[in-house]
Amino acid sequence: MNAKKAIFLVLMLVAVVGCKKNKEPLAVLPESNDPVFTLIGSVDGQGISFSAGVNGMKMKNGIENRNGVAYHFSEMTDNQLIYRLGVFEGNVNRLEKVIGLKEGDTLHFAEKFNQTLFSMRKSELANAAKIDYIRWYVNNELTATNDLEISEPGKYAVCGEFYFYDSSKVTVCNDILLGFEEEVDYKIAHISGNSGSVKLWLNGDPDNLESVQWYMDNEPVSTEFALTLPVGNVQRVISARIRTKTGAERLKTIAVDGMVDGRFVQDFDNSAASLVQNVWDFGVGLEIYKNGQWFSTFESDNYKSKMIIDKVDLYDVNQDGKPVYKVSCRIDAKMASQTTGQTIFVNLHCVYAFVVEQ
Amino acid sequence: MSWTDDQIDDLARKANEKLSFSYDPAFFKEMETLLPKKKKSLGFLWWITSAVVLAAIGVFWTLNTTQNIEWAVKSMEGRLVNGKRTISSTNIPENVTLAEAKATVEAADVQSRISQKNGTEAILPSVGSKKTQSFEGSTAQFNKNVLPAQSKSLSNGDRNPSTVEKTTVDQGNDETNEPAKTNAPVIEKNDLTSGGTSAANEESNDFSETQSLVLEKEIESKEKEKISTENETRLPVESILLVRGYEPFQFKGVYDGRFTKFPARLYRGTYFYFQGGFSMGQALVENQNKNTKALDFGFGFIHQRGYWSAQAGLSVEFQKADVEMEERTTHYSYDVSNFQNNLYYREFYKLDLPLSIQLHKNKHQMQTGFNLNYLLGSKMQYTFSENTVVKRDETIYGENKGLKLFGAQYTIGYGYSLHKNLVLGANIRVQLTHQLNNQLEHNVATKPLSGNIFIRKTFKR
Repeated sequence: MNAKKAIFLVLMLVAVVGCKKNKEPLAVLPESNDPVFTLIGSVDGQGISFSAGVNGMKMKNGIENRNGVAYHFSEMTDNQLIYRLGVFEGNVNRLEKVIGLKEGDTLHFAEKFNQTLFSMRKSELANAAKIDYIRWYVNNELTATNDLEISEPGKYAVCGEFYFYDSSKVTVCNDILLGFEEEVDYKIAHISGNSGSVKLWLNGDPDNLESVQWYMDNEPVSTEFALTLPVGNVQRVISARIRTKTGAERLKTIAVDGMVDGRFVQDFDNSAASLVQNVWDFGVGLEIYKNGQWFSTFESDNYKSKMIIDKVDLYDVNQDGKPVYKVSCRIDAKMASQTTGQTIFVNLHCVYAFVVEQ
Repeated sequence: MSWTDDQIDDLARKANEKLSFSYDPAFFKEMETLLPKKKKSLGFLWWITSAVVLAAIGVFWTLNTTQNIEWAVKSMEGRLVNGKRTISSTNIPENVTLAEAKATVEAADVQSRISQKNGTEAILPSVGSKKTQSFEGSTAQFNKNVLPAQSKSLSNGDRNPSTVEKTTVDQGNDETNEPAKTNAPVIEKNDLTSGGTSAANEESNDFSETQSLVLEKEIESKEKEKISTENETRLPVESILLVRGYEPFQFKGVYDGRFTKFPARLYRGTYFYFQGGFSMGQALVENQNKNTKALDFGFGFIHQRGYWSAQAGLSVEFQKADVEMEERTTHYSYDVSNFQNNLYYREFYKLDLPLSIQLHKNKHQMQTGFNLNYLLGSKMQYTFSENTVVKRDETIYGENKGLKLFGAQYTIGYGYSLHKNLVLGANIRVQLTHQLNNQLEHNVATKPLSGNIFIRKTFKR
């Protein structure tokens, strides 16, 4: 081997070992940190201290649909213990959701209503003599016949199939918001004339009305606040898409009878109860599962309970692309067992993660 | 008139025989300009690369060629003046007297010159032969008989005139040559002494000592003459050789017929080498009982000046290291996640820059220096797991996480010349600056030792 060959060999070796690089870099590990989400305080006089990631505790969060209303929950759990904290959405009918968690806010707890929130009985209807029977569908499920009562707060899709004695039938559907503030607080009123025309208008605050779109049998007919429609000598389904200046929107539906024979269906909101308690907009709920039973703030009178939000930080974006906020809070609430009715008091400092609908 | 084939062939044959070409060098110069120019040799690249290495030993290049020659000539003169060198370079047994030895040397010297000039085989008076026995009793007789006899025999040979003349001078022709005056009285004195009382031991001893001294001076003067002649006649040749870095000079040992002059020569100059080696060493991490093994191949240059030499080179080292590192983090979020990177470095690929000085003694050489390392790459078995679930498991090349790019070793070692251009040796290396950093591994061994055996092929000219 001569000198040139030796140099060539060494340089080739250098080239081989020096140029062979891996394409994919090593995984960059996240920095070690302390537990982020914690729950410290006392429950029924007993001190607790939990941290997500310690002793099997985990922080879970998500958005539940509770009777049609979003419930942003977050829980510390190890499957044996569950400390679930949730906040209902507010301004339910608004198209753009707002974050109900703001630093310095004091949120009330959602208290169980002690009244029927919706009641529509066949016998109480003005044209009850013309109606043979009514089938009530709530959220597309046949729920009742003739009489419908709803006691749980929520937003329900209520459809009534009205069967009249003359064998005619009309179906009217409405979204009913119960226990929450109805921003679109307008009721459709109408008067049927003998000439086959119907006069329609909205009862409510005209200053808060942004727009209205009237439909007859699903065909748009007018955008006036009040109007007269030639409906003919038949039954017609009249709808109004109402938008308020606050950004809330709602579609309301009634049925009119051009024959003036009493085969109409009035606005469902006439059957909604007037609330005497706090609505559940941004209402807080705390549920604890321990020793085999559930304790809940919904089961107790907790008008004195409150949650103070100390800090809100954007923490993460979940798999669905929704923002997750880290919320530091203080809770002082009264709870009751769902099974025994036992009342307990809780005082907690929490750092929980809440995912928010964008 | 029609031509037959034979006639045509005959005409062609005669025409060919009459063809003559006049040689004109100018034609060839013109042809040269027409020839395609020779492509630049790729060898240029070699020397660009080598220049990097040469820069490291550039200090040794500050000695210019003239200085080398001067140094060499002075050195050679100084050694040649010392007549003992000549004696030690002959095959004379130890039990031979000084007179015999010197006579033998003298005769051999003359004979060698004749052989050198004429290319004829010299017939040397062998020690212990009849002739030697005859002058053993009387040194004077040796001076009278042996030298003239040789002179005669030489004068009868087919000699080069210059050699004959010089030989005549060497034999002490006192009448014709001034330089021979030194020899003439000695012969006379010897003659007189030999004619005196032979029984007087003291005189005899004095005689012997005097005779020895005279012989030494005689030989010395001849050596000086020889040197002056050699300097005149050989210096140009020597200069050329020295430019090449070769000193054809023996100070000990002889040519044994197998071209094994390497122990007897002191090389002087710069030469290329190619070296391969194998190493085993202590584990790089204290709590990981995994020794290292390495192969290295490289080249470089050695600049030698007599006993000392300096080496600089470039080599590639393949080190099987088996170093395990891990990186763990615990990240709390909605839950806790344990992330772990396991880096199992199996091999390191290094570029080494060996720098050393060497002391040569016959076939032996001691060397010490530093070996600078640059990490070219690595082979690593990599696993990444999250909460004990392995998510990546692959072999990765070129990663240097947890490693330093530069390292340094101190080396000390020994080499043995198996042949003129082949050295086998061993080094002990101490890792001074580690190539593992403390980022992932905190139990890096401090100054791990390694042993290295190497074989070095040099390209001395």
